[in-house]
Amino acid sequence: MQKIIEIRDVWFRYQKELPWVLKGISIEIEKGESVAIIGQNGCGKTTLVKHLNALLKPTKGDVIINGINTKGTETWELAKFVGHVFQYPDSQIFADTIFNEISFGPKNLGFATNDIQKAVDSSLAKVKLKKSLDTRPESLSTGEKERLVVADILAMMPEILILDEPTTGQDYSTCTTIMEITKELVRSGKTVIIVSHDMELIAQWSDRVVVMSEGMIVKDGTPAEIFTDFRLLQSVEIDPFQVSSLARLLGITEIPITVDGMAELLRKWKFS
Amino acid sequence: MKLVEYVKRDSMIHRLDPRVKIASGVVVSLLALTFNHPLIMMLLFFSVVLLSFMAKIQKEFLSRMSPMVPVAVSAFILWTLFFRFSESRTVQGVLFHYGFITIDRISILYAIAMSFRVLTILGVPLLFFATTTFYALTLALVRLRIPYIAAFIVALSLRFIDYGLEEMNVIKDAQVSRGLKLKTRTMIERPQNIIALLKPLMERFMRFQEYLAISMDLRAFGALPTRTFYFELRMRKQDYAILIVLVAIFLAGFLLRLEGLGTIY
Repeated sequence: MQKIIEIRDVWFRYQKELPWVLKGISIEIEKGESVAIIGQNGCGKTTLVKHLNALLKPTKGDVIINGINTKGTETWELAKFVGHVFQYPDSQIFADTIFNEISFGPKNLGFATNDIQKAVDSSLAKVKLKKSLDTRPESLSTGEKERLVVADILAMMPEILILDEPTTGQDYSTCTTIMEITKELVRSGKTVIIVSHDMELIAQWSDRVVVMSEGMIVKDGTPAEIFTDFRLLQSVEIDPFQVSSLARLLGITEIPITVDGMAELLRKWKFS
Repeated sequence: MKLVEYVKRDSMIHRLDPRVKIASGVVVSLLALTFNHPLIMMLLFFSVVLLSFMAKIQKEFLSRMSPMVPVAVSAFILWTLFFRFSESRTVQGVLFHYGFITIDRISILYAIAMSFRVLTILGVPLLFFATTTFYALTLALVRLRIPYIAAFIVALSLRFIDYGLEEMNVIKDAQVSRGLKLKTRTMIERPQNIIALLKPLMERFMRFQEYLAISMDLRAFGALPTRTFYFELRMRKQDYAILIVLVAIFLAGFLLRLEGLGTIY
C-alpha cells in the first residue's frame, strides 16, 4: 500500500512560551485507510489534523502529504489533496446559493466550467441533499448544512478527507449519510480521517483508531483492539461500550464492541 | 491571540480604581494628540510600556502590541512620503528627492512622532483591558453615570473583540482549506475573499447575539428598574493622588503647548 500521510516526530506549540500541544507524534497512514482519532478534549486531535493541510506547521518534525512536506507548502496548494470539513458548518458557508457555495472550492482550484457543474452535481448526489441549486444555504436545516459543507469539500475531489466532529448535533439520518459517504470514499481508494467523540460511530465505521492523550499517541490499533482495552479506556476517560462491559462481566474472552457483534456471539452460543 | 483579555496579576496598576485608569488613558491619549515632537511621543509610548512592566504584564502587552507594529510602520511610510504636501510648512533640509517624492528631515521626524503616536493611542486601551476586568469596567462606567444597560453593552462588546478574532481565525482556516488564496488574489477577486470571511462571521455573530439575548432574558436581565452591585468601587488615597498628578501633567502639557513647545515645526 502507498503511504499517503507520514507524520515524523512532530512537536508543536502555538507560541514559544506556551506548553507543547503535540509531543513527538509519529504516524503513517496508507492510501484508502479509514482512521479515527479519539481522545479527551484538549488532547491535540484538532491540532494534529490541522497539520495535514498546512493550517499549522510543525514546530519540530515533518508532515509529508502525498510526498509533499507541508513546511514549504501553503494550505491552498494542498487543498486539492486534502479536504477538511470543519466542526461548525456556519464557519464556512457564505455564498448566496448552494451552487455558488459548492463551486467555490472547484473554482479556486481552477476547474473548467463543465467540470465545476459535474463536481457540484456529483457531490450533491453523494450527500443526498435534494435541494435546488439556487436554494439559499441559510434556509437549510442544521443537518442539511452539515451535508452541504461535506459536499463543498467532496466537489474538490481530494485524496484525503478530514472530518472534524462531523456528527456532533446531527440527527441519525445525517450521521448515517455522512458515514456512508466516508465508507464509499474509502472503497474508492480515498483516505478518510475522522476526529470524533462518538465512539459507537467510530467502532462501526473505522478500520483503525488512534488514541491521543496529552499531545501523544498512546495507542494505535483496530477498533476491536482499542475498545476492548479497558485499562487504556479508563486512562483516557472513555466509557467502554455497554456490550463490551457486559461481555467482560460474563467472563467472555472474545469481547464484542458492537450490538451486532454481541448478537452474533449469542447466536453462536444458542446453536452450539 | 487575545487582544483585550484580562491578565490576572497582583500589581499596583491592577488595584487602581478603573475610573483612574480611564482618566489616565484619556490624559495620555490627549497628550499624544496635543504634541508632535518625536521625543515626547517616544516618552509617552515608553511610559505606557513602563506601566505594563509595573503591572507585571509586559510579556502579554508586548505580544498584543506586535500586530500594531505594521500599522505604525505604515504611518511612518505615509507621513515620510506625504508630509511635505502639508500646507502649513515648507520643505527643509532635503535628504532624498526622486520625481514627486521628496523626503526632508522634518518629514522623517514627524513620521517618527506619528508612528509613536499611533502606538501610544493603540497601547493605552490594550493596557487598560489587560489590567481591568470587564465587571470593573461596567461598574466604572455606571459610576460615571452611564446607564447600566449601556455600560453592560459597552463592556460586553469589548469582550467580544477576542471572540470575533477567534471566530475569524476558524473561518479563515475553513476557507483556506477550500483553496482560498488570501494573499495573492487580484483586486477583482479580493472582494470575494472578504465576503467569504465576513459573511460567515456576521452570521456567527448574529446567532451568538440571539443566544446571548435569550440567555440574558432567561436570567432576568433588566427585570428590576434599579440594581445593586456585589462589589462596590471605592477611590482610595493613592487613586486620588494619581488623579491629582494626572490633572497636573495634563495642565502642564496644555500650557507648554500653548507656549508653542513640544512641536517640531
